[in-house]
Amino acid sequence: MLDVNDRVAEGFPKVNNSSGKNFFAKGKHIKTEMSSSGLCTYKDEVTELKDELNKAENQRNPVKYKQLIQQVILYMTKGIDMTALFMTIVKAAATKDLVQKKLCYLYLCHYASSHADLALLTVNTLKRDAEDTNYMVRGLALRSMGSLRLASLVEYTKDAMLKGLKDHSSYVRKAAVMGCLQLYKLAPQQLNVEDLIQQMNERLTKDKDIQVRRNCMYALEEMLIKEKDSSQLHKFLLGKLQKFDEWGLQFTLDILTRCRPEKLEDIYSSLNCLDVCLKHANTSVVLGAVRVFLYYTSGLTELRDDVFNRVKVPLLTALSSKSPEIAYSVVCHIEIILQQAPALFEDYISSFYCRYNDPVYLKIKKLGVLSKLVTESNGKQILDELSYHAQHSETASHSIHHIGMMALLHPALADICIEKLFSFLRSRDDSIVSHALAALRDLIIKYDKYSALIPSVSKHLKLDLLPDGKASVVWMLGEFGESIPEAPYVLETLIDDVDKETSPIVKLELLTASMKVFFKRPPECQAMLGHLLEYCIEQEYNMDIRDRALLYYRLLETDVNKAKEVICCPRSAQFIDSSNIIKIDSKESLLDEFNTLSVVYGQPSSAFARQENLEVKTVACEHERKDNAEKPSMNDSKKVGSKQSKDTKAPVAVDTNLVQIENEPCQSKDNNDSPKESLATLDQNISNLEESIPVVKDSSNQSAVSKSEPLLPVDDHLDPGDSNIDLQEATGLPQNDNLDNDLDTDSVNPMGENLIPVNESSVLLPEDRISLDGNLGEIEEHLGLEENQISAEDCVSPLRELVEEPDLLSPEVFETLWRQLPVTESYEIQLDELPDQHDFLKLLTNRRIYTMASTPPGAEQIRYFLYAQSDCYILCEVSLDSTTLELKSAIKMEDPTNVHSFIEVFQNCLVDVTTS
Amino acid sequence: MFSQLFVLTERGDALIFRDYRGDIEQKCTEIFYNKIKSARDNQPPCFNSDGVNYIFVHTAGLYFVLTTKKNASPNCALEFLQRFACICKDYCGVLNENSIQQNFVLIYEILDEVLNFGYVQETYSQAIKPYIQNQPTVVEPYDKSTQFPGRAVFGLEKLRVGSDAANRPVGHSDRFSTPKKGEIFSDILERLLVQVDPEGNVLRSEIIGTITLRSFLPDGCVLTMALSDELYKLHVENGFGTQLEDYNLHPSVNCAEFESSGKLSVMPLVGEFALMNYRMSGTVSKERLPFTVEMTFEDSSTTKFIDVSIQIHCSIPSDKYVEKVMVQFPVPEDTQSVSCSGQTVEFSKESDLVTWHITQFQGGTTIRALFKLNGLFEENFEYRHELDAVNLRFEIPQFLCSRAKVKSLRISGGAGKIEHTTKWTRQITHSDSYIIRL
Repeated sequence: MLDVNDRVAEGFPKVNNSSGKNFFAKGKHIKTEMSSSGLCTYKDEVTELKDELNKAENQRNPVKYKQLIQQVILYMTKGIDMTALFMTIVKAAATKDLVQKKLCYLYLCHYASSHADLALLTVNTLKRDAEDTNYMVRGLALRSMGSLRLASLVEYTKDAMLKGLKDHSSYVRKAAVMGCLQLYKLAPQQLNVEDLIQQMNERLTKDKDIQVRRNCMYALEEMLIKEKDSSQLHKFLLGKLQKFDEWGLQFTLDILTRCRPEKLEDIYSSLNCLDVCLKHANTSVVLGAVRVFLYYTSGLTELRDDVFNRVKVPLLTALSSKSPEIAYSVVCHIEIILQQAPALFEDYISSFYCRYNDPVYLKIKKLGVLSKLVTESNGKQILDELSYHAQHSETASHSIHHIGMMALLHPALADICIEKLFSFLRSRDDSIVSHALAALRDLIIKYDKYSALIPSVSKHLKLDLLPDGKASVVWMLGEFGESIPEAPYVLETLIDDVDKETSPIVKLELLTASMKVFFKRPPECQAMLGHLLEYCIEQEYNMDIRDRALLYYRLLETDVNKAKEVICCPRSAQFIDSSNIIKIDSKESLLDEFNTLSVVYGQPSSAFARQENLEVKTVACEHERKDNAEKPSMNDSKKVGSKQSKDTKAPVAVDTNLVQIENEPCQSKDNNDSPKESLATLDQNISNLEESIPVVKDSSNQSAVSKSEPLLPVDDHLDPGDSNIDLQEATGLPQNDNLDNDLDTDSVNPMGENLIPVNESSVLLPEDRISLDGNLGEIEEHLGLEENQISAEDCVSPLRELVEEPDLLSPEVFETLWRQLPVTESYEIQLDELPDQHDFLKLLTNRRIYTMASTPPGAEQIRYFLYAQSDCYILCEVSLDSTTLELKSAIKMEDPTNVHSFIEVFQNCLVDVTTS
Repeated sequence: MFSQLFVLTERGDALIFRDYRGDIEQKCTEIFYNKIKSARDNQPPCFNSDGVNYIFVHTAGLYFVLTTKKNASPNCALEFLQRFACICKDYCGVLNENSIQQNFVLIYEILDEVLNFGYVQETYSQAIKPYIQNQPTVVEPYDKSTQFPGRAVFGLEKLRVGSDAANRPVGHSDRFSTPKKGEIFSDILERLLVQVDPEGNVLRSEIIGTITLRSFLPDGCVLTMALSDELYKLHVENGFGTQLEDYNLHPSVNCAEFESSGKLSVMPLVGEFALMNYRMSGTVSKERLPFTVEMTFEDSSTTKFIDVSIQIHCSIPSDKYVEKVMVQFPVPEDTQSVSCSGQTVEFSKESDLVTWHITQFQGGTTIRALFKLNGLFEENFEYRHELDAVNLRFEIPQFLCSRAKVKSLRISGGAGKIEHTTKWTRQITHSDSYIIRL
């Protein structure tokens, strides 16, 4: 008997115990038992059911028998494997009772493809049924034949199927057409394809029943997807348009999209024919027709405007559907049209107002469309609608973003928008305040006149704001440090708590702001800036933050005046004209994929469909891909920028540029250039902000290459020790020991160390080298010299006893071992300072002591579970009280001889990490 | 075309699963359910996961889902799913988890007929009737108040609750063995979309109307319906201040005849179907709206409570009445409890919403209520901003804002004795979204 899981793997619904209880009131409750592997099996039920089905008394009682078969189908739906009953069901299918027959065939089609050998047994019954006097039985038989999905059976079923095409009942013909298609898909080589196509064509043109014709159309379309005689088909389909039902109509419109008439008068007449489709109650027909309209008039500017006007009202009617799902799809389509005809719906803004019960996704979509309909005359109304939704948390972020954009794009509306945004600052919902602050900051960058309002904003800085809002306030404090008296002090409190700050956006902003305020009010800020830079260079893991801190540090070190020029650049330079960004975002080419899922996803089919499924229907595909390729890179470069917003519209570029530029020093360092040289290029970059994006992109690529090149050999080198040191000396790079252990530590290391960039240790400066606390002016120029010195002590050759690549220890095994083994050795020591968890663990890993688990950073009682392997596993628990700095360690191992060498390694690590 | 169809409960159990094309190997129901849950029920109706497109409709506590690998038309799938749900309702009497469970064999029969190899075949209850062999197990509708919490309380589903005949499954055999007494239900249902801004300007006034037929007539009958001017003359202002902007008709209706005379002739299909959909919009003056609301907000001297008084005036003719009125408004989050003497008031702390129920509201009258919000309020904080809108939900039986009417309804032809036909016509206005911003 097969396991339930086999079924599940094939896409059947998951077995759910809880639902089994009330599923079928008359039937028995399903008992589940847990097998040893933890999976449910239903052996008992299946056997019981089989016995019941085989009992003579049940077989004599048709009602009872049918109920039993229903039970089988019920279990089947729930994904329980019922294949054991296959033979019984094959026998049961030979019945006069149509309901029972249907149930049996449902079962057989379901399991046939996985039991090809047994399925052969059903063929005879099916063939007999295909000759039945009752047309329903014949139809059922043909439908089931097609659904068996077994190429091996095609040779037995094809004759009956082809015969069905000529049946006198349209019900049978309908089924036969689809059946032929199914057989064709399974095994085209077994059929006389040309003959089949001819028969189908004949059916398509001559059959009396419109649904048979429609099915022929379905079939032919799928069989001959690319080889259509378009003009003839076009005429034929147009003529038949009125007769098809809505689904046939929808399908026809889809085909018509592929064959555009050449002559203008043909286009006109086609459009006239199609006009009636716009009045259809089925929205898919309406959208299908709109697609044909748009496609036929592409390039014909005047006609196209008429078309837009013609489709406007039907689209609005479709939008008023009571189903939110349909309305959503229609809004997505309208959004695409708006790209082409922005003014089309200006007078119909109320149609896009949210209904009270609209689901949130629909509200957000409608608000998006509303924001695109803004003109100076309706701006106030749209603003009112947006501001209402801005005060409700689920729609707040989108609404506020739209209000911000509205103010950016329509200077005439900026005043009322800003007023609204300021009113949101009074909200008690932190997320609303945060979003409003982020929007305000963008506006202040663009419109200088609003900077007077700034001092009133600063009091809204709360620690519990979202990162976006907090970063905005910090930016304002920096930018307007001279006019906000308390600015340095607010920043100072933030700097004091910088180790508790989790958001990199805020930290980055804090760095920049502190620099700005430092230049504006040096005496108040010197100490705290030093403190912050020290923290960011020393203790920060985030490469971007560390890089930026280093950049600032070197800037200051090199030329303070130059640094001021770079950092306190005019606000206008921080702004990218947002209208350009919107153009990049344009979904123009999606118009070619109107009425497909692409529109709803907002991306061309090339972005989500798998290649083999892609029907190339669009001309503009190439063009789109290019567009698309640009977009992600825009987003990437913004990743660390001010906005987490998914849109590419975030108008502030200050962070983007700075962050990107920071790649420069890394590069120069790797190449052993002096910082001064890199600064020169840097200055250039900053002064050409517009050009900086492509420039920086290139340089960051370069730096990536130059970084990885010298490190590659390390990866290959399986024997560390001496040769690694050679390598370092050769490249001037500290060896990143982490690299060769990556493979092993990935799965067990909870710190995610491999997220840390490879060149990290080259950026990290030893503490004693920088004495920022005192005078920033006295910074010594030893940055360039350091690299070779750092690495030496880091590379004490690890003990030979510990195996470099221990057999991976799973947490379970660890736990068992830990419980079994006695404590071999335990000791306590008093530390002088708290080791940095990350560095510590990394150091341990370098010395072949691996981490199984550790408490998250910041916990009071820090615990590590470590392990290593020499002859046997060595397990170690370390607990460290972060306040008293007491370290307790317990070591367990099977063979205690080696314990001291382990302790030695471990203590060396401790010493290194606390003194470095 | 479509690869699979399945029906899931809100707990993720698959009630129905049918694979039509066998080209998807993944555990679709699980992937689907995880996606829905991780989006916290805010998942747009189409999404792509690993090359498979999922399209779903969420109705009556069930997810109806189609999967496909093609870049199909989303609306085609959505319309089909709506239609399929509708057929299930026709055959089971009511649509809910229980009725699908009890009738799953019947649903599989329906699935055989509506889709073949993933292509849509038939979507009218009438057309598939001969091929459906199972008898439905009739499920009693749940208790009205708990049946569809939330949006459906005033939704279409409920409008049919209470009329026993309308809850009959179409396939029920004893109904059709005695076709002597035919029945036809024709409903004009108008959904009202109103939005009023704080100054009392009507920002939006739209009527979305549907004429639905639910027929239990013998085959071959022809139904002729004459409609009033409001319903077929485009861009003519009617009594309410709106004008007909667009309509669409059931495909079997002769459009030309309708456009000139407003007469609809149709051979009713068994089951429920929409004969006509229409949309009216316009600028309605505030006085003509069925309800006007005034709210006064009294910041009391203490910080313990706030008084809010709401006055609602109903301006429909005094011989009509409004049913099941629900007035909803948000209150400040500091509110701990809300009291209002003599009125049925619910207060939900999670959403900070007050719901005031008025069972019946006679036309032409005014109701006023004083709500005491208890809680610890901050001094000098402008709480008024947090009471930003009032939403009304209501149902007006036998009254249409557009004043549209069915002038006559005639049945001719047919084999049975149609003179005994009972004709039910109903007119209902119900609020789709009636928002008054304050």
